[in-house]
Amino acid sequence: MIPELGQIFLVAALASALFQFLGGISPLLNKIENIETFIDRVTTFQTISLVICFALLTTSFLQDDFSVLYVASNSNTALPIGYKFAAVWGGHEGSLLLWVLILSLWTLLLSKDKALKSSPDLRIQSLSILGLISLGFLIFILYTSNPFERLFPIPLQGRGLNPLLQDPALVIHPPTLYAGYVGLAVPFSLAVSSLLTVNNHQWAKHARSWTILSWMFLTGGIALGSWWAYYELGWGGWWFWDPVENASLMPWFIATALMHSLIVTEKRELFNGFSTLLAITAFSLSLLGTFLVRSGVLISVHSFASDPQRGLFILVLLAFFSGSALMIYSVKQKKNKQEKLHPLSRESLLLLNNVFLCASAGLVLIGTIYPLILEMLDLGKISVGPPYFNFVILFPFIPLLISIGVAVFSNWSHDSKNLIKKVSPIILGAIVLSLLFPLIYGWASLLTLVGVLLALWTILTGVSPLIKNQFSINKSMTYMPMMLGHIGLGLMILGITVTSSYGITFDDSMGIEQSSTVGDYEFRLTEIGKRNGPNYLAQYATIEISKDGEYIETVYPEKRVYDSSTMGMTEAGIEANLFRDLFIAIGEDIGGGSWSMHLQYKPLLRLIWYGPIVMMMGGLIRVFLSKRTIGSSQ
Amino acid sequence: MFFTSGISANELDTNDQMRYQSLIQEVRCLVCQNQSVAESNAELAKDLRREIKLQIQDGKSDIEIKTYLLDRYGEFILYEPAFTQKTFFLWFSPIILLLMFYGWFRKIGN
Repeated sequence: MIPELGQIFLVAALASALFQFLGGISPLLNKIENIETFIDRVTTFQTISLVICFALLTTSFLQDDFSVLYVASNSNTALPIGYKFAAVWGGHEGSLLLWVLILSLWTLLLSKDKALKSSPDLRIQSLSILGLISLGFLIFILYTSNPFERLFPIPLQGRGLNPLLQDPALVIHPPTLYAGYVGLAVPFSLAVSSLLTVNNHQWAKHARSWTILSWMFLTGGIALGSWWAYYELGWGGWWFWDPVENASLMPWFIATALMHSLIVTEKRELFNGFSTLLAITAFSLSLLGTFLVRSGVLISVHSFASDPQRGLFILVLLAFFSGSALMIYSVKQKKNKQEKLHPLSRESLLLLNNVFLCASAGLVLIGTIYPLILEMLDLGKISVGPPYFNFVILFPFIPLLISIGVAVFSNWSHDSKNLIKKVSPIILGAIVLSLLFPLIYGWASLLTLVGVLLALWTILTGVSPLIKNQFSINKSMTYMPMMLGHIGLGLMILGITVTSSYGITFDDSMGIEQSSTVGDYEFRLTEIGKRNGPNYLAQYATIEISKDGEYIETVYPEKRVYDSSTMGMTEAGIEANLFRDLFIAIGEDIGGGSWSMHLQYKPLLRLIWYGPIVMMMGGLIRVFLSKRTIGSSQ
Repeated sequence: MFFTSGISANELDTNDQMRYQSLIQEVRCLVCQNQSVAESNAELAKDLRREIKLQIQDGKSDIEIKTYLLDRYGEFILYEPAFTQKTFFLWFSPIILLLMFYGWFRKIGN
């Protein structure tokens, strides 16, 4: 009964999405009274239907109802209860349901946006466009990916959840990432809606907070994914330029550019067309990401449950939404306000940086789909991986990082006087500080020094408004989002540079009471044994870590074999503080009581995840500040 | 194949260990989802790690080892695509994109 109810509410959601869409186009034809009330109600109704749908699917999981195909494929009775909740989005059907649920939540929030109510045309059209997107995906779900499909005969046991997904970070990683992906539908809808109605720069003001919110989720989702890969994939890597990782990085680059471009469009009424294009591109790349992850056209460690036919459907949706948006853009977009830019003015530098971000997204896109294109043209199979991306990304990123710091000191509309005089103390400070790094860690390469220098430059220029205001937090509050955003970026770049240049990776064989030395640290194996988990059998090791004979910590790396899978899972033993990570993972039994072990010493690794957290705090403060100023101006 | 079931690289000196680590990260495990032989526990990955280690011990250079892998398994095995006619656009894309976007920047800026 529960799955059938779910089915009904899914159809109800589809109907409301349809009306939400129609409610928007009807005023274009003829004026209808109370159209706003109507569209608000169907929006609310759609959200409620999808929440119920989701709750019903969750119930089926909690009840181990294996008559539901999706439950039988992604859960079993032995699965711990927390992971039964996570299993709801552990497969294709459920993650799509989550996708539309999040879309409807964003839509509901947008419909409650007080400031937007002052522009009813813009508001109705954007809600309508969001309704159309939801409609497309709901048809997709009902047509190819129904999570409530029944299974007969009913199996006694389910197949269980992919062991890789049985991890706390992976419980929150997909919803966070999806919230970011899907949230980009909001600036998209506002941009297209603006083209269709008022056709001016007004939308930028409304789109800013929404863009920042989605960008925050995207940042958090990517960072969580990287952290998960680090400790769960068993090899201690934190970024592999895997197609699925790239799929989330591309919209991130564009959303970052959009966030900054909207500032100029709002404040100076410039680059309206450019911001519109960025909003369209950001959401299109989100759809492309969904396509890449869900279709299985690209080989990836992250692609769970993929199917080419479903991929084709998403591709059609992508072509439809991006294609029509671009068509509307080319027909409707008015010429930019003509204004000669000063090359060192803030708007000019922001534009330049946004262009570098677009180039970064373009490079990642080319590298990701190039092997696919060669294969389609019958030119053979090639691999494009980390050595390629790590190299090419420097081309846009080095100039980007240089100009970020300059942009902080620039002024609106005119070239800043004494720019060189203003930045030179900071350049000097960054150089002096960066020379400390070779002193602490030793000389690595010129590129390392450049990376450290640019990271410190970004951090110091980020801090500079605080110095200028004599360290008064209150006075620098309006700069806080920028400061935290840039400091976070600088910390992340510092972490990436130092850990890649000075990290040590080491494979060794260890027997009981034997030890292995990595850098200054000694890892000693004291015990190896077996233990039973709720749904797995684990081989664990007890490792004592010490430095110069001084005990630091004991870690317990594990190798698990889950009942539902034959593949071994690695749980690494990690000892971490702000300055370094020590990592050990069990390899294989090499006989004679010895095991191969994978050991790592990674200095400043944590900054790679703390940086994004600092960036997100900046975003949060910006959203908070904008709500406050809107509140006070009313 | 040699009669050693495990792969430990502890007989390599520091410099060779570094070369070994960076080489195994650049070599793709052909039977896995997108993973390098450093990350994978598949039998093929184990064999390849052992092969690479043996060749390092034999005094082979990185280029010689990569050539050996290319001849044996094809281009797909290396994560760094070679610069050839068909990867021309791939390798020149940073320059092409930067010029293209710079042109766009000038156009919007004026």
